[in-house]
Amino acid sequence: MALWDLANADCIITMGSNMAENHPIAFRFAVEAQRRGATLIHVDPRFTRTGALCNIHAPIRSGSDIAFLGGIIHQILERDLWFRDFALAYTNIAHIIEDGYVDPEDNDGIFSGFEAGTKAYKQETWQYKGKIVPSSIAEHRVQTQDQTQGGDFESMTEGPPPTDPTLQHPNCVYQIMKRHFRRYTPEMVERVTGCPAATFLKIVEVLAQNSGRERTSAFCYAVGWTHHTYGVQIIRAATIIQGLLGNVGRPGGGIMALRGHTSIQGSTDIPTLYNMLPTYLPQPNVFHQHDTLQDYLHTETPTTGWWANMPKYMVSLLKAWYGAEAHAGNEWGYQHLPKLTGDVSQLPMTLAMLDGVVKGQFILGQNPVVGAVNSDLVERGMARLDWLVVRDFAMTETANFWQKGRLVQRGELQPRDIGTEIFFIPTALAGEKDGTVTNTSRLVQWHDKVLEAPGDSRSDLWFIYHLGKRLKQLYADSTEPRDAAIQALTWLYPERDERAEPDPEAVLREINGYTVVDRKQIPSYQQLKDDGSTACGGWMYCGIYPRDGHNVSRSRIADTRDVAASNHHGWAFAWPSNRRTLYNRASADPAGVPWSERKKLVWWDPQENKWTGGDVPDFIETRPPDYRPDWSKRPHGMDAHGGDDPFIMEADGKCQLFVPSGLKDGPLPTYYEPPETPVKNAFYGQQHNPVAKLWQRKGNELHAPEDPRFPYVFTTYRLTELHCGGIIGRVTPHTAELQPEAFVEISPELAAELGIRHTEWAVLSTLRGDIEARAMVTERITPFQIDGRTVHQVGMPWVFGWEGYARGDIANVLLAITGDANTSIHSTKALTCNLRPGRLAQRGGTGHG
Amino acid sequence: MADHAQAALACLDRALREKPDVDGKVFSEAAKALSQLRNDLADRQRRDGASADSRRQLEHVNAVISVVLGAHFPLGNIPWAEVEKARGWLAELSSADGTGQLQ
Repeated sequence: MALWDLANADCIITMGSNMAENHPIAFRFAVEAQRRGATLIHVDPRFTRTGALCNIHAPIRSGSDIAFLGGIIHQILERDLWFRDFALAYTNIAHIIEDGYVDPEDNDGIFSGFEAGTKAYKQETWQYKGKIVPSSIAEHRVQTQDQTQGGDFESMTEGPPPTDPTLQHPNCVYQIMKRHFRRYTPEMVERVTGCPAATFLKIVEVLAQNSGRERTSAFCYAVGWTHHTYGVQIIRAATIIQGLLGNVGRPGGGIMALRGHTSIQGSTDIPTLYNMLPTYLPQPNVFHQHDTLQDYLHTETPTTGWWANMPKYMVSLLKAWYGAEAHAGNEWGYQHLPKLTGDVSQLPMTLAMLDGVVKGQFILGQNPVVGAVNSDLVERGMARLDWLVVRDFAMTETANFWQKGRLVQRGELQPRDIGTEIFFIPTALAGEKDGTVTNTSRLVQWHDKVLEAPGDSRSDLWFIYHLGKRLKQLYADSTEPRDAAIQALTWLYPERDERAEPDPEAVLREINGYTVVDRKQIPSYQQLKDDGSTACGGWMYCGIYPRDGHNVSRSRIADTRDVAASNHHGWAFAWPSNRRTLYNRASADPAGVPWSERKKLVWWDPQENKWTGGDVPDFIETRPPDYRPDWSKRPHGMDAHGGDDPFIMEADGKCQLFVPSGLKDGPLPTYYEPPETPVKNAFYGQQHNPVAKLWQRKGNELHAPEDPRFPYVFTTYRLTELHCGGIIGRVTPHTAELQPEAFVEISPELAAELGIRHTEWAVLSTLRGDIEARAMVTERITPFQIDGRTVHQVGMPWVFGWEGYARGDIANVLLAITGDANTSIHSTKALTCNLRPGRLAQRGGTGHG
Repeated sequence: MADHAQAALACLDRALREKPDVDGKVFSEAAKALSQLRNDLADRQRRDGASADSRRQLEHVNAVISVVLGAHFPLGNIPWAEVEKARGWLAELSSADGTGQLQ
């Protein structure tokens, strides 16, 4: 959903985010919704400025989100609070799952298909009965059945998945969900999360009352949901709620992923992620059936739904990258693409640095010594590199760890023993370069350079472009096959000033795409082809530069405030197709009529025979609501979707309450404790996510549950005043003055118990390390009653380091390297620690307070 | 170099014999030995100049490292068949009755 669409919501639940402080621009739309009468709810361990501005604050213990959300699902199902007309028509609630499916309720916390040796799931028993359902998301591909290894995506073309619209079949999704969530009672929610049952039930009432034909509700989340070993499943739980309540594809309805400020959305679209090619195409994997382009496309392309167009996007991408060197005779250059062998995301590669595998590292727009978990291990890994390039506008802890790092300060390493050659290169700030930022609404906005970067500072684009140029020169005469990719790469961007800055609009034009024969800009991705006649650097961005001289992301036409134009279509470009609300076909009922006048967005115009309304329809524009696939013809692609199937990126066009393929840790969210926790899992014998990525090694140990050495729940967060990883605010006097040093937030009750006084020193400890900080004794944090006993919560900002005016110990020293089962993202929001008054001995303290 | 190759071989043999769960520390040990071997080969190539043999050895060791990383940090199941194959390449490189390149 679009950020401004939050103003159309009747209820907004912010959870996993301190939105008012960390996304203040976005939060004004929540405030506007409140001004219009919406109820704002904040579910969070701390009572922050977000909670203060909301109508209801519900405190929960860090990491217990799935118990809370599962409790909402339980209430919706048991009390028939769901939007039946919406969910029956548009979700897979009536679909029948394979007989072999076994729920964690019947297997003590484990889904069927689990292989203990590899700690991985096979997904055969999660499928629709008689079908093999392709996953629509490249990022979450699971090594299980695929088309050339026994799977059969063609089964999706044989007929619709089996359903029971009466919802009586014991293995229909509705019945499975009822059984799965039956123990998520209000009492259980209180027992596990610490949130009073009355507060929880009040939230359920408000949410249900503000959902349906006339009203819609939204969820907002940030990394408070993602940074767990089960982060994807927390978001999945919200997806189920919104699917059941009909809050998808409609004005004011949806799930708002509050993404980072520095174009984090853009860096997944045109990715810096290891496992994706631009705009969500899967990176080839050497262990999959990806030997040839034909194999790759056959294996990865879903047979039904919009993703059946994937070959057009892939071939066009290869043409954009390799130009004339990409032709039918060489698989369009497919063999130039590096193929994965394993998980090479940041966490495993930090461990690989320790093993000596990685020789060098580029750091752009990041400060991992502060921002990455287990800071000491990060330092140890970087100390083993041959070379390290850090680009930033001010000195960072990552660039001078060899001199001022914790290991050097403690005498564990001497600078002379660190062989890493470090290149610190000054970079231009946002106002010193032009280009785009893609925000959380998929909105790509152009910004112009307003002044020249000082001295040798250059944009990241300049750096990458000139690095590429030099590499191409270096390998120009090579006869090694491995160098062919660099030789073939198109790298012709106009240089426009004495600094030889490449033209960023030229890059955007290439990302948009063009016809190969006459290099004309392509106006929409529907015109991309798989015959080599089109080139496109990212299919979802197609239309952003539809013709020469027309950069749509520059557009700044103000909203007229007319209802039909309230989606701000004249403001920049939202991918795809400048569409503001994805799956907006769901804003109309199966017959194409808006669910209500108050919440209308897109509808079928029977006179014009097309979809129309206040947004670009996310549907085939001329497909009537009563269109049905002709299964006798084995339909593929969109031919296999009906006119009432809004979720076009899914293989069957339905919102997936139950996910047959694509998730590595189960088709439904289920409750696990974090890897480190002071309590046992109240739901199952299975304590934590069985497929979580845990890498226990020296310096990265985890303790067992209920370890008395680490009794307190610990969480980390950002501060408004110290932007992003902190350095930008810490080196600026005005903001540094506002948050002058690190602190740890503790409740008055815990402070009294431990003898810690406000503003005095305290020491925090985990198995990874010890740090010290000033105590902030505050009623913003309250103790929880968990399973009959008091559990204290502690929190600390992670944005401090030893550089800048505002300094303090690095909270990430305390954290372990663990990863989400699906995304490998680190876990920063729920772990345990010990706490005592006083200072660290090496800082002059006694060690005992 | 031969020591590193033998150490890596021993790790891979142990991994194949024990088939450990994910995060088997044996893969970490194998990666360390293989990285040392790669570094020594690269140093020798820089010192003595590249030859077809030295390039082939480096390529094979790098390929083995890639497979070991894939087993250490798997995307899905551990690719045991490929680990077995990689073990074969390494054994070929370090075999006493072969060319003795790593001696």
